[in-house]
Amino acid sequence: MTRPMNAYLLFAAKAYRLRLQYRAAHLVNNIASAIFGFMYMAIWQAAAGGSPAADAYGGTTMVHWVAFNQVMLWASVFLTRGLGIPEAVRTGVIGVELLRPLDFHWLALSREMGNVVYSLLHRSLPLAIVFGLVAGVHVPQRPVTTVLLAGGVVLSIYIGLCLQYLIGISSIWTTQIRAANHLFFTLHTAFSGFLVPIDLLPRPFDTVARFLPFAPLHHDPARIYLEMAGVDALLGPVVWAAVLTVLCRGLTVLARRRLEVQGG
Amino acid sequence: MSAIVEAVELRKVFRVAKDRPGVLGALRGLFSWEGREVRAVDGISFAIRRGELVGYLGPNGAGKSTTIKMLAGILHPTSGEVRIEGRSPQRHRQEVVRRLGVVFGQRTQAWWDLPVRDTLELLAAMYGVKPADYRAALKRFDEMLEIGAILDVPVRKLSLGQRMRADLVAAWLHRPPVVFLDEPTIGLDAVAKRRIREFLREINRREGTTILLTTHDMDDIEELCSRVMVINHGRLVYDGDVEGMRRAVGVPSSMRVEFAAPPAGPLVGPWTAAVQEGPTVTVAFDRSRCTAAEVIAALNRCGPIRDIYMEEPDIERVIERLYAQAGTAGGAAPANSPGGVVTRPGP
Amino acid sequence: MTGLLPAVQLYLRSVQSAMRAKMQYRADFITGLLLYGVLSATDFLMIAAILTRFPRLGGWDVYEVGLLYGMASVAMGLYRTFGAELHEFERYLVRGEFDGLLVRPWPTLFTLLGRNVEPERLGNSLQGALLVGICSWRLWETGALDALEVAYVAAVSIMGTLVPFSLALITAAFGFWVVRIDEFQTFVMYAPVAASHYPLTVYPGWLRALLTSVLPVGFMNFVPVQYLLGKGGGPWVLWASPLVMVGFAVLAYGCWRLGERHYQSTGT
Repeated sequence: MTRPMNAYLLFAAKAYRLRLQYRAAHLVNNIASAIFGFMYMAIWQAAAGGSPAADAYGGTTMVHWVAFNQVMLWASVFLTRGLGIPEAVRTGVIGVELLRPLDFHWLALSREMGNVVYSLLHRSLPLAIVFGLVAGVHVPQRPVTTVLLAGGVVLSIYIGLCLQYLIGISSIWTTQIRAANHLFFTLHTAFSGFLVPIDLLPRPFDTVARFLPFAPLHHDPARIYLEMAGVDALLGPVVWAAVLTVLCRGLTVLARRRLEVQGG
Repeated sequence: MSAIVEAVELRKVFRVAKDRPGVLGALRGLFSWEGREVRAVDGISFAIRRGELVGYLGPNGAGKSTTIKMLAGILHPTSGEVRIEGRSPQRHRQEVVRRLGVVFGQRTQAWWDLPVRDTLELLAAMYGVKPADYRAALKRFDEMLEIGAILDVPVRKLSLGQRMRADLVAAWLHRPPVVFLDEPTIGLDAVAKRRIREFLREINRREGTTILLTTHDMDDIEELCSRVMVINHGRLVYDGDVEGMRRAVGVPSSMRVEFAAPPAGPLVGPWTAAVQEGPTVTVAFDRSRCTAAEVIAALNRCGPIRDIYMEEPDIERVIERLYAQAGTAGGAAPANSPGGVVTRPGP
Repeated sequence: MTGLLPAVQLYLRSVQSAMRAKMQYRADFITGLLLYGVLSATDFLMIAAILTRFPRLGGWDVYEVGLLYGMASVAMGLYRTFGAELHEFERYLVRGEFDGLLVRPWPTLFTLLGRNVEPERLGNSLQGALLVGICSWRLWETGALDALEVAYVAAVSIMGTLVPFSLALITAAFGFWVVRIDEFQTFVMYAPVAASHYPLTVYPGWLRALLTSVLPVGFMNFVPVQYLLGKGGGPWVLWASPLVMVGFAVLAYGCWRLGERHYQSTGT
């Protein structure tokens, strides 16, 4: 079991080093990302800043909410489209990759983990520092929050990876990956709580959002971070992580079967 | 006898950015373009007369493509000047390229998802080719390249050879007096290559198109070109006819011979070197001094031969040798060849 | 071979070819059209969600903000439709495909834009037009806008496409030096256009200054609408805004021409 483990790590490390080459360009992107963050903060302050908070979502809270989600965006949402699987399908490399003696789902995920680690260090961290300097940092009151937050962040990343994996693996059956990607971003905008907490959505949407795998990306960890919820906010993410794992692995089996039939 | 394509002291220096380590280095790299200079083309002058078919040779990275791109107005020279029919393709790009055809062997200009016909029609509109002329051109090219069979096939479904034929038609559709071809035979099989050479020879003869083509293929040069220019390290090292180049270089050829049994006696013959490994003997000989038949006859005298393999020298080695000669002897081109000049490389 | 008529004819011909290539994947087109419309609408629904909870955003109600959002969507959708190749310009630089544009006897930008259109992006514009329609209707009913002003809003919405076009052109021109430009697009295009969906008065001063100068997205909606709704500015903004957009486009084309001369064909 140690040898394949090393292989997964190797893939992650390679992806990380590849990213390092484009640091300069990413720097400009970070500035843009920070501006996006400030923009959202300004909007919430303009909307909610004047009136005293009727409930948990007041002006100051929303500033931290938006900052946290902007930082998380790079770790769990802005991943390689379809984890690079559509390109592998187009070039035919997928045949080789699926037949390697490695678990394809873990392989794709660990390769992307290299990118995630890169993004955390070179995108999320600088952003968090900038937001912290300008808007202040929310420090959790209870120590247990840190533990829960770590869990929420890890689950957010894992679910983000699985969703991209689903988009990617679907390219074996369809050519409409761009459409799938747009659908993903549409649903993310509406139902993740990225800009607007799910509790604030108009009537049917808030219920729908609670039953979709997008809340664990932003809404749930943000509520833990701002101590609006405790361990209960991890229930949704844990369930979704399990469901998505089963779904991903099932589709991988089907994909392999299909390729074997095609390959003859 | 006026020149239709002229290059005067053409020079192109690229600046390659230095890769700086660390985040700070990357930051600095954003704001300054300090770097190493690469002289891709380093002072080249030549003149091509109307109707000439010129081969442009050189190893990878010698500056062939850079030259063609400057001639076609794609790149701006660092210094020096290009004149096509007396006008600079850089200063009067649109007017000059109207009377130019350009073919890049590596990539096509055609719409990937559309039939060849659509691309041709669009190009006809782009160059203002009249409908009657367009129809006549299609008919002419169908005779020469059998383009009719592939007109309605989407470009993505064409073979490499078919695509090159389509690209040639596209380049000649507006009857340009000058056409530049960058590696038109690269990656093609022997049949496709022959067909393209036939087309180039014929169109050059029939329409008087002035053609400059870069190539790696010695056969392209031998079969097509009345004149060769050789570039290495950004400088012109030979400019003259093919025969002159052969003489100037003394093209080294080699032959590998398998004897039935290892030859016992000494290997005597008109070759310049012989290496023996068991029953296999490799000999190098100079084609300007003796023929392959003479070499085979001499080898036959050494013992019964089972098999013979000819090993033609690759163009890179010919040019290397040419370049080395140009560096030491200086001016090895025959005086009688048209414009036969070997430029001396600098110190 | 210059002259307006042949140019228009050639452009239509090019677009026709590009469309024919596209129609080989008809299903992609239909789903694309729907998805871009829905994506844009969802984005606006988020703003609407904020505005149902807090009735005003920096003094603007949901119809007023909707007008800003719709105008920006019309402009952006038109750009993404007709400027598709400009948006993908990094590819031309990385693979040296710009060579192919330089050997054609037309201005390079003209040849470039004719090579592809993405009509499915019109979904974004249609959604924006719908929003502009609804919001103008409402503002006309309440007497905030008169018929002439509504017509002005419609005209500026379409003209506003000059702003993303110019931003893209400047980014592309920058690419002649740095080659990799996709990462810059977020900074130059996505962030400013997203910012233009809201009244600029909610932003800190430095950001507002940026969005009305170097990245002048403010002129395609906020600046004129602010005056029309009696929230600030003088009547002069009504002619100044189109003028600024045209001036910016001219400047952007100047950058393009300058960059073009610096093109260092890479690739092979």
